[in-house]
Amino acid sequence: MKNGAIPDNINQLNAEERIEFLFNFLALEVLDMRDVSIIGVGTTPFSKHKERGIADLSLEAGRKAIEDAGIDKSKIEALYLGNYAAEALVGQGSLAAITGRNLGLGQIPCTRTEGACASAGIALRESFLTIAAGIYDVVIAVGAEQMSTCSTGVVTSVLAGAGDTTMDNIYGLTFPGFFGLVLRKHMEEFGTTRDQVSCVSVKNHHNGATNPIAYLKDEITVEGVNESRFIADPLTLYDCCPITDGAVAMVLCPSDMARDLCKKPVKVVGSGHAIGTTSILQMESFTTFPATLKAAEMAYQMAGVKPEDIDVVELHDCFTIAEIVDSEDLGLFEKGEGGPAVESGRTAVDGELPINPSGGLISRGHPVGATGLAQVYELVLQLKGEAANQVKNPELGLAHNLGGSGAVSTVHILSKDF
Amino acid sequence: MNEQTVTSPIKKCQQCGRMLPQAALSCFSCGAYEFEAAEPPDSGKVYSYTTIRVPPEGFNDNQPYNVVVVEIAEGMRLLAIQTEDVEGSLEINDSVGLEMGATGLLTAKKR
Ligand SMILES: [Zn+2]
Repeated sequence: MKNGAIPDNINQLNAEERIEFLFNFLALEVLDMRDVSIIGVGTTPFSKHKERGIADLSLEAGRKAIEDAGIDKSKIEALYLGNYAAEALVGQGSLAAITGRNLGLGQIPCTRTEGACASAGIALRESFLTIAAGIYDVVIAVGAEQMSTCSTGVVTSVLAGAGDTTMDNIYGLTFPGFFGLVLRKHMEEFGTTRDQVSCVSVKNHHNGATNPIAYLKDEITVEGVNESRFIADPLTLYDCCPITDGAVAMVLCPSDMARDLCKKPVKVVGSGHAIGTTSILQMESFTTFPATLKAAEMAYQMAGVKPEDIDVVELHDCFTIAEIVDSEDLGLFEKGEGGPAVESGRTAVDGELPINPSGGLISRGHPVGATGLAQVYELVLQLKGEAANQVKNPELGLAHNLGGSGAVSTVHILSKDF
Repeated sequence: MNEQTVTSPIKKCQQCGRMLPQAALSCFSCGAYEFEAAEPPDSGKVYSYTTIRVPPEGFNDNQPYNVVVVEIAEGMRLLAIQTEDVEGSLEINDSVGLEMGATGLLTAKKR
């Protein structure tokens, strides 16, 4: 049966033939999706911006992205804003509308997306989908969070709210605690060592030290990580990402349009978004996140590429052990090989598969609602050859964003389109 | 002592028998929505644990405590809190006793 052709005898088809027709019809719809590219990016420095408001941060990122795109802002038809907890952290809701208003975008639809630490990955995904489907031509994706104006106790409580409050948090489980449980299990199942885990922090601090927008600028040693105070044993202070404020934005449009508007457009060739488990008691294994597996499968399939085709990765290292688990879940290394891979330097900027050349969440910082776009920001610079810690000639980059205790993940694969 | 009924921290799926935390809204194994009363077993095996040293505001009077994931049957786990002998008393696969604590939480005790 030919794709898209409605057969004359449609009423006589049996169930199986109807399913085949529908399948082909839907496949044609997928083929009809437009290619989408990123034409401009902007970011604030990642820091503790105590003297500024969150709307000021999202405005700065948005203005920079629009300027970088070199597009008249009246062309922007929609805004998606990733933010986790502005109401709880700074008492401000309606941030999507406020950001759209401050940017002077007119009365366009402005939508906030929330998926805990994956909020901005979802904002990018929705921007991508609406353009790909032909609903809009030009969309701006923004991600923002302000956390440093609250005490560590309040931030810990608000972040814990991304886990299940009724089943997990009643036992006093925190986010570091969740990853402490994961770390202990990964060590037991695969023999992952304390030093291997610390190498993630050492590498990411090293990368962040030379990234102008990263928050932490200090190098650290394996001993320094091992001997820092426990936060949630066996997790130590330098296994954790710091509390940070920041905002990132980017302008997207159809790839055909992008080639006319921009010298170096970066195409979104794969996009995946999936939920996983929302309580630790639902997890079959503590050493893999089903949300990542599914989102990665979707993105690889859409892009038509395999893990070994990827040249540079920005993944969700909210804690050191998360980088190891993520790198395995994304298929970049076999299960249990993530620890040895980082220890032997395979994931360094000059290694065979650089991971988190920006410094990752651990050193760049993790304003939770901005992180998903901060990862893509770094990849765009990498693919354009303009990154501070430039990887050698990357063609394909992968961004992995994880929210909650494995509740949600997005994966995006980006390619040079120039 | 007052007559207030203490709710078990546990219930059971009517369809497949999986033990679930009282707050579960659907069965983690089969997705069913009907449950029956159940009491937690009096022991289990440590699947993983962590010592929380930065608790959420005010939790456990800000003292360190262990969150213990206890395996009660193959692949079936419950959470428990351990507030005594917090330092260095547990290993993965250790057997722990389970009790209903004063706070209504399942409490783990090293055996
Ligand atoms: Zn069931």
